[in-house]
Amino acid sequence: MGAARGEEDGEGRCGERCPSWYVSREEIESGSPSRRDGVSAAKEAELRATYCSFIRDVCIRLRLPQITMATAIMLCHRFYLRQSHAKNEWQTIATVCIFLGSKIEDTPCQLKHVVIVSYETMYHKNPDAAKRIHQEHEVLAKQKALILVGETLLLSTIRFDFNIHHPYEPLKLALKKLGIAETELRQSAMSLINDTLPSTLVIQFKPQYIAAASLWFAAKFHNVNLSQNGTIWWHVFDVAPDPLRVVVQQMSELFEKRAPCSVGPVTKPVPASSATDKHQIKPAPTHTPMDKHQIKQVPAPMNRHQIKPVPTPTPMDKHHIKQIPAPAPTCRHHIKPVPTPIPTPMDKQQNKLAPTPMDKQQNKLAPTPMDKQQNKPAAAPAPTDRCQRVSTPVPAPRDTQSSRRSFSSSSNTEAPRRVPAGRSSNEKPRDRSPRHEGHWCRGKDGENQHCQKHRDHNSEQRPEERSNQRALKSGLAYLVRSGGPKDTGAATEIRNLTRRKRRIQEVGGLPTPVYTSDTDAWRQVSAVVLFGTKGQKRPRGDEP
Amino acid sequence: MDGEEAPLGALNLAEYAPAGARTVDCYRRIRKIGEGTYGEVFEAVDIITGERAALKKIKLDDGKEGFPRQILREIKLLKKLDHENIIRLKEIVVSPGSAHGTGGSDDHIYRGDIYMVFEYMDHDLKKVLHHSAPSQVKVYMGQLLKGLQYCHANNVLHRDIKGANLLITGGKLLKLADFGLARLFTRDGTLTNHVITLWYRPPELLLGATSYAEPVDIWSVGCIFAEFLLKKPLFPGRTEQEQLSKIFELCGSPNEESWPGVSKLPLYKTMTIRPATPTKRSLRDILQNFDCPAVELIERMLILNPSQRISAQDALGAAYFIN
Repeated sequence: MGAARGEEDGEGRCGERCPSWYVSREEIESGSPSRRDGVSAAKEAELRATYCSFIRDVCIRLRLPQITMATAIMLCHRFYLRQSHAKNEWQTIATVCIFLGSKIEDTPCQLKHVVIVSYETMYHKNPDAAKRIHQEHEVLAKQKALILVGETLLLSTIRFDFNIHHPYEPLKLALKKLGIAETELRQSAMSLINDTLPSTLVIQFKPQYIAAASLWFAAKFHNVNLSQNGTIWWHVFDVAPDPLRVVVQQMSELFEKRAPCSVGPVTKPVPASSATDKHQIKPAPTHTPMDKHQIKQVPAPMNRHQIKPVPTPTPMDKHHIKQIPAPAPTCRHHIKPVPTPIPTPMDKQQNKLAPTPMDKQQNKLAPTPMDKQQNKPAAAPAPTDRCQRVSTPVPAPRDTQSSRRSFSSSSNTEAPRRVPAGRSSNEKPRDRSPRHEGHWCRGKDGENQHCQKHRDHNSEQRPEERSNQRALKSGLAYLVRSGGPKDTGAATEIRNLTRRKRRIQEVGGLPTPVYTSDTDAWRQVSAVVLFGTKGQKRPRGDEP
Repeated sequence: MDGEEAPLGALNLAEYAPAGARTVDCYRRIRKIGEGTYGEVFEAVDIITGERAALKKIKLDDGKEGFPRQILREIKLLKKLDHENIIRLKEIVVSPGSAHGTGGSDDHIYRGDIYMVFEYMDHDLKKVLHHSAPSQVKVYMGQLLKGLQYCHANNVLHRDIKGANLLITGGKLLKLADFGLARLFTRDGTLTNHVITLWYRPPELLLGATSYAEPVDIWSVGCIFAEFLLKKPLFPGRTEQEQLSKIFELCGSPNEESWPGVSKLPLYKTMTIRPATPTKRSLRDILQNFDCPAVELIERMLILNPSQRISAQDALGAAYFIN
C-alpha cells in the first residue's frame, strides 16, 4: 500500500498484511478509503481538522495529559487511513479513540465519563440536546454500547498495534545530547510538534523526523546554532537529511497556509498603530526572521472560513490593531496570496513545488535566502501598511498566544527596560482570572449586551475576544455534525453560562498530569500557556 | 462534489478493513486445551497455511470498560519481545460485532470476540518438571534464563514464573509464556505487591515490598530449579504466613545484618515469627545429593536479600553451565 519511508519500522516480518503506518502524501490524498466512497480530499481534510479539534477539547475537559491526546489523535488518523469517512461517523470514532487512548497511555478514564463529556462537547451549542445524556438513562446506555462496539472495530482496524510513539521523546533525548538547556527553545519546539498533530505529517513521517524539523524551526526562531562543537545536529535524531528536508518544507507550507493577508474587514489606519509600525521597522535585520515566523503562526484558513460570516464590530477591530501590530517588512510577502478559502491550500502547495529560494534554503538548511526575501520589503510603500492592518485583527486564541509569545521575545530583545521585573511578576497572578473568564465567556458570542459590557473593561477585553473566536471556531466546526444548533433565548443562554461556570469550578485550574512519565511533556504545555499569557501584557507598554 | 459523511452513530461493521486484523474464521478450532487467565484456550489450525496455533479467547467484561487494560498491556509487551525462548504472539483475530438495532436492549449488542493467536506448544513444564534427566534440566534451565535475561534487558518483569507458564515443544524447546502479569519497570517505580503464584513468590513480596525489580523473577527460577532436582515443590505453602515460614526454615531468618532494610518492609513485624534463636540456613542440606555446581547456583538464586541475588545474565555464566 503505502510507500516505505526510510528504514523498515519492524513490521516487515508480517509481510503484506502489516503495511507500515507511514504512507506517502500522494497515498493520503488519492488512495484514502474515503476517496473511493466519494469523499473529496478537501472534505476529508476538513473532517480531519474537525476530529482533531474535538479530541483536543474532550481531552482537556477530561483533564487527560498531552501524551494521551496525541495518542488519541494518532489512533484516529490511523483509523481513517484504513476506513472510510462515508461509513464511520467521525464523532463516534473520535470518542472511541479517546477511550482507547486513555487506556493505552495508562491514564484510564471511565467509559461513562468519556461518553458524557464527548456528548456534551458535541452538543455544546444545543443545551437541550446536551442534557439528554444526563436525563435519559437509555441515551447514556446506547452511547456506551455504541462506543464499545466501535472499540472492537478500532482495535481490529489498527491491528491491535498499541506501540504509538510521539516526537516528544526524541526531542527530549536530542536536547539532552546536544546540551541545549534553553527552556524557550524547548517550549517552541514542543509547540511546533503540537501544531503538526492535526496535519498529515504525523502519518507521513516517523516521530524523530518531526522532532528534528521542529527543533530546526525553533532554533531558527530563537537564533540558536544547533551545530556547536562541530556536531552535525541531525545525527542526534538518527534521521536521513533528504526526508528531513521534505518535512521542513511541508512544515513551512503548513505554517504558510496560516498566514493569508486579507482576513477580516478592512479598517481605517490608526495613528497609535502607525507609530508602533514605524517602531517595528527600526529593529536590526537580524530580527526579521523572527518577525516572519510570527506571521507564520497566524491562524489557519479554516479560521478565515469560519470568521467571515460573523464580522467583528469596528471597536473590537481597533483593539485588535492596538494589541497585535504586525511588522511592515512582512506585508509584501503576504500580498500575494489571494483570499479563496478552499483553493488556497492547493495553490500554495503548487507554488511551493517550484520556488528557487525555498529550494536553496532547504538544501543549505540556512536562513540566508530568507533574509534576502525579507530585506526587500523594507522600503514598502503606503498601501502595504493597509494590508498589514487588515491581517492583524484575526488571530485565533491559541495562535495568538504563540504569536504574542514571539512578539514578547522580540520586545525583550529590543527594549528590555520597558518591562520592569517587578511589573512582570505582578502581572502573573492577574492573568489567571482572565483565563477563567475566557472559559466562562465561551457561550456568550451571541450576546451583544454582554460583549459591549466587557468591551468597557480593558483587562477583560482579551479573554472576551479569545473566547469569542474560540466559540466561533467550535460552533462552526460542529455546526454540520449536530444537525444545526437551535437558536436559544436569553434564559437558555443564562442556564448555559451557569453550567459552564459550574464545569470550570469542577475542573479547577489548569489540568494536571496523572502520571509521572507525562509530567515533563505537560509542564512544557502549561509553561507555554503561562508564557503566552504573560506575553500578552507587554504590547500595551508600547502605547504610552 | 464532497461526498457524504457517515450519519450519526454509523460504523462500518460489515466490511472490516482489508489491512486490519483477520477474522477468527481463518482458523479451524480443533479442541479446547485449557483455561487461561482471561479465557479459554483452543488448539487450532490456520486454514490457509495449515500451521497449528493456540487461540486464547479474551474475556471482555461486558457492559463495563471494554477491552481489558491488562490484555492491552500484555499485547504491548509481547510485541516488543522477540526471542526464541519467549512465546510469540502471531496475531490477534476478531469475529465482527453487529450494530445495535433501534430500541433493542443491551442483549442485542454484540461487540465481537477477540482472540490472541500464539504459536502452538505441545505442553507445559508441569508435565515434565518431576521427570527430567539432569542433562535435560540443564537445557531447560539455560533456555529459561536466556528468555528471562532478554526480558530483563528490555525492562520487562514477568512476575508469574511457574511450571504452567513455561511451555515446551518438540520435547526440547522451552519458551516463557503468559505475560498477563508482566510489567515494564523502572528503578524507582512502585509496583503491585500481589504478584507471582504463592509457591514461587520471593520473601520481599511476602513482606509487602512494592519497590522491586528483576530479583523477584530470579527467586521463582530458583524454586523451579530446585523442584527439578527434588522432584517436588520446594516451598509448598498454603498461606502467605506459612509460605514465609517455609522459606525462613530453609534459608534462615532475615535480620538487618544479612538483609539491610528488611525490618522496614511493611509486613515485617506482623509476618515474622521471632524464634528464640535465629534459624540458620539449611537449604544446602536438603540438596546435598545433587551436583555441586547446580546446588551452588540454586543457593545464589535463593538468597533472601534481593540485592544479593544472582542476575539471569550472571547465572548463565555460572559454573553449572560451563561444563
